Amino acid sequence: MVGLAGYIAVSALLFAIGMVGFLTRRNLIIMFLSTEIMLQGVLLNLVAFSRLHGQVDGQVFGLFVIVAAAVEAAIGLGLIVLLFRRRGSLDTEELATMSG
Amino acid sequence: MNESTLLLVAVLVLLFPAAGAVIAGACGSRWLKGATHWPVILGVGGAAVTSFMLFGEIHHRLSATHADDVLEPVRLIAYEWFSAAQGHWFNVEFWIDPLTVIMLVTVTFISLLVVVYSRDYMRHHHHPERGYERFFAFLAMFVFSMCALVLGGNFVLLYLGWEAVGLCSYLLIGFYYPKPSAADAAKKAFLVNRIGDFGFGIGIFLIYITFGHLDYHTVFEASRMALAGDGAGLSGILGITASEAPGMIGLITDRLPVIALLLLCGAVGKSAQLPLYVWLPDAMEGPSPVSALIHAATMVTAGVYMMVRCGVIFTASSSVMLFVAILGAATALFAATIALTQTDMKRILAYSTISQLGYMFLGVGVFAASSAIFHLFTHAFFKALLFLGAGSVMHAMGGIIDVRRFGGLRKVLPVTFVTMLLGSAALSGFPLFAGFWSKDEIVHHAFMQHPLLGIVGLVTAALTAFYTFRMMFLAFWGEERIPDGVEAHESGKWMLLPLCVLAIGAAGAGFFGVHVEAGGFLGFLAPEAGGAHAQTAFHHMLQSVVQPFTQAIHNTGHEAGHVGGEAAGITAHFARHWMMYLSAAIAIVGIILARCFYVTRPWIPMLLRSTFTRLHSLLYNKYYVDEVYDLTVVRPLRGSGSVCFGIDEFVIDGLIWLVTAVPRLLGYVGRLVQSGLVQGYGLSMATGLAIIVIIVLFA
Repeated sequence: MVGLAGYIAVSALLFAIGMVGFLTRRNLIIMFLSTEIMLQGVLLNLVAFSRLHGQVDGQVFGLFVIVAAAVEAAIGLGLIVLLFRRRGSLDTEELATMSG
Repeated sequence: MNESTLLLVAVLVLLFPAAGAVIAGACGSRWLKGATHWPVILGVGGAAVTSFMLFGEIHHRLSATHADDVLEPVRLIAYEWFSAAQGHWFNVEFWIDPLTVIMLVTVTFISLLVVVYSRDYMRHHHHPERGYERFFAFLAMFVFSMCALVLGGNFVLLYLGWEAVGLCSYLLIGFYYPKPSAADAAKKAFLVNRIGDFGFGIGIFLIYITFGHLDYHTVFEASRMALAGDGAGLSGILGITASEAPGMIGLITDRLPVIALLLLCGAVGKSAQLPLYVWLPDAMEGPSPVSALIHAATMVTAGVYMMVRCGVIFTASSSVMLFVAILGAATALFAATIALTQTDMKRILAYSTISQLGYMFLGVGVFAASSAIFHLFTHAFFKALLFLGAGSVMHAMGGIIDVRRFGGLRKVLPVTFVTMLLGSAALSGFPLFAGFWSKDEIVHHAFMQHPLLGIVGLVTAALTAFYTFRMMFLAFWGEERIPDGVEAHESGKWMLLPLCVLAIGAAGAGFFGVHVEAGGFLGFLAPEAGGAHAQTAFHHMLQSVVQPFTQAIHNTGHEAGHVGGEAAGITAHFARHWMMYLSAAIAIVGIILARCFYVTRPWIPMLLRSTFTRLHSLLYNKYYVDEVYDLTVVRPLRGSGSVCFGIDEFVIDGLIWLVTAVPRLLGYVGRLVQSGLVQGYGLSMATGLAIIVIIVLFA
């Protein structure tokens, strides 16, 4: 039986991997995948604490987050495809048009 | 006709042209196109018909009045317009008296002819010119404004009409606005008129703060009573207590000359007198029908109309009247000398208009107001005719109007030639033509007032005859010369009809002011002499209007012939007829001289030009008045404008730049953060999260 600390450790690890991936990679798709990994880390946290407290709320909430994440992934990927069609590149350095 | 019918007719006089203008303006460019002249012809025609109805009614009332009674003007209130302080209202009101109806009939009749003429004039090869509908809409708007000016029963409406005709004048001078000279001329006319109207506006304000009212009735009655020292009557009409009346009499009598001078300022601008005449010659940049209607026959006479209307105010001071007379005489002579050397047909006519307006001012100044209005009336016919004729020549010559570039057009343009000849005869005062009678009356009265004024009048008459026929001889006599590439042709019937009608007017309009009298000119024709003598139809009609003038001359007793005994009357009678023969001779000599100079012995003007080079260039360059104004007024003003611009540009804008520099600096710092890189934003978010976590864990 794995204790709570194990779950939290995995969750923190997933979050950290995602964050490092997000900050270091330049390709928008990889960055997008990284945010998904961060989200999974948070979800694992939710489910673990739900289990600890013996309540089902956290797991239900987790299901909602997965649905929202699926929707968000669909939209996000759609936007990325459109961006690629328009710009021919997904390198964020080339997409720095918001520069002040 | 009872009062309410009269009011309806008066309103219709205004509504017809207004409706024409609205229809032409709103539907012209989209639907009516080449037929836009129809609503305007109908509108102006309606105004003419209703004006004649008003004329008939006033004439009828006049003949029903007993000889010694004065015909009271009809005062009609259309509606209450707006309220001023002290709870009293300004009304849209009409003031209908013989002067009103004479002006209305003249304005609407000439306008109708000009509108009909424009139907063909504003076309080239049967296609309407660009802006055809705009032209007609403005023309109808002008007729509306001019009728409002003439019909108005208070100074507010007078000012409204005054400015509205000025606006129409501006719009029509600048009709060919893509042409820089036309745009400049329009601007010049507008700005020069502003100078005059500034004084005019202040004059009206002064009337208001003096009398507390702006309607003609109250102002004129109060002035009359104040001048007569009638305290009781004054307190009645102004609604003041009897104890205030003596002070009020003093105030009014003190202020009337000032008011008169301020109003004169407006008249000088509008009627193109010295020193504000400079806009009128340039106004010839507008289409010829506009020059004929607005800048010769009607609008420019508004100043004369206003002075006669405000006779009580002007005659209050004899020095003001003398000033008006001198101003008129000086302008008449000055403009006539310039006209001697000009070569642009329309400019010659423009200077002659200024000169004739000078005659009218002279007439008002020498207390011969009805003669001034008579001259206004006859002048409207022959000057409109001459301008329309010049337009016809211009049309035939493909837009060329310089008399040096064509000649001998008698055969080419027979109808234009004959009608213009009649107009020129009238302008130069050829015996029996319209101008002869009216001009002669003014000169006669000028002689009565001061011999010098009369002599100036006669000299100007000689110059007028000379320059008018110089123009005619250069354009229509000699061998036939037509500019290259121009296919000369007589104008269409829409243009010739108004010319013929006006030609009849130019020949015959003078007879309204003449009556049959034994021993008169040519044995039986006598002009108006004023005073006790038998009156002609025209002057009899105006008798009640010009009463302040006749009254004033009786009081001062300047004209011995009018107030003296039988003997003095007979002397004046002979002087009058001697004068007529003299001025007839002067006109004929002027014409013969012009013929001698420009037909039989063309070497004379050349010799004169080479002998008096400096005089010639002085006249040819119009005494350099435009240049002097440019140097003394335009440039200094433009310079001060540049200074103001510089202050605005550098001092005021600089201060504002300093104020805006603070947020700009803050913004500059903030900009550094915005790299536009997603990673950068992500990093700052991660850092923020880390800081929050640290605070939560360790705080």
